[in-house]
Amino acid sequence: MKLRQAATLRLLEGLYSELMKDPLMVVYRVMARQTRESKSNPRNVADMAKKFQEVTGDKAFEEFSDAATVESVVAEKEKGETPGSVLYDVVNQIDRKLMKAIEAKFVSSAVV
Amino acid sequence: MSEPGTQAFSQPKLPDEIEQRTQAVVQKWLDTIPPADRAMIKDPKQIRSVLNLSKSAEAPGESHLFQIEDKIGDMPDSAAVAMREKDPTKMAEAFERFANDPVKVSEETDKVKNIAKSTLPESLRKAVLSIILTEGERSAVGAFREYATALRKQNTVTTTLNREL
Repeated sequence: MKLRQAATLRLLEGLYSELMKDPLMVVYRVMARQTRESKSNPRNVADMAKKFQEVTGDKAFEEFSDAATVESVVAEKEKGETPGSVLYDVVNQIDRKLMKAIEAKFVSSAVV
Repeated sequence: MSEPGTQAFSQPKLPDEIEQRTQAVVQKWLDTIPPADRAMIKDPKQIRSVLNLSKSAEAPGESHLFQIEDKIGDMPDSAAVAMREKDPTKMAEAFERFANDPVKVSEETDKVKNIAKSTLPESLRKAVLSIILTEGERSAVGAFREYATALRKQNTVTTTLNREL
């Protein structure tokens, strides 16, 4: 990690401590660390789908939360698709849903 | 070796000493930020900025944080060389020369303004920009002069950061 990245994070943690420590945000931050390669890794996707469900209760990605079945689900969905794109899309969808959940939780509760 | 599933979730850490110094530097900034700007999330745009900024800081590569870092590539060659050499005195001189060049300053002012187009609270925007490039969202002239001054002092935030980078 570069120093300026660390400094930015510490600053955000100091300013928005409640937000940055929230379980939703913790998962969001973990996902932010994913490389393009890891977003196409079935095992990582299963981990992320599982964490997403744990913190939101949303079962939208339940079919991806079991590493053992991810590959077969992906194989089925990838028929006619670019290999790897299904998993990558799943991660992006999880990311967007997490962002919306964070917005819904914090913006509504912090309005004065 | 980590399990493939967990490896991607790990985050490299700064050495303890640098981490402590970073904490101290950040605390100084935090102390300057009014309580009203802390924790207050007023609208979706603001929270999206926070989310994007945190994503940038967590991201292993790409992101707008790095695009902003790239702006450093627009600085005068002499300053770039000095920065690579980690020579604060030369950097200060180079930035002062740059600040005195009206043509370059005009171009740089626009860039700094563009960078600062953010919905974050003003104080946070200033602090973040301090980390990244200048001493605040002011004119490029002022920013680069202050940058030069800060470099001279050697014990300032910017110098501390650049020395470690």
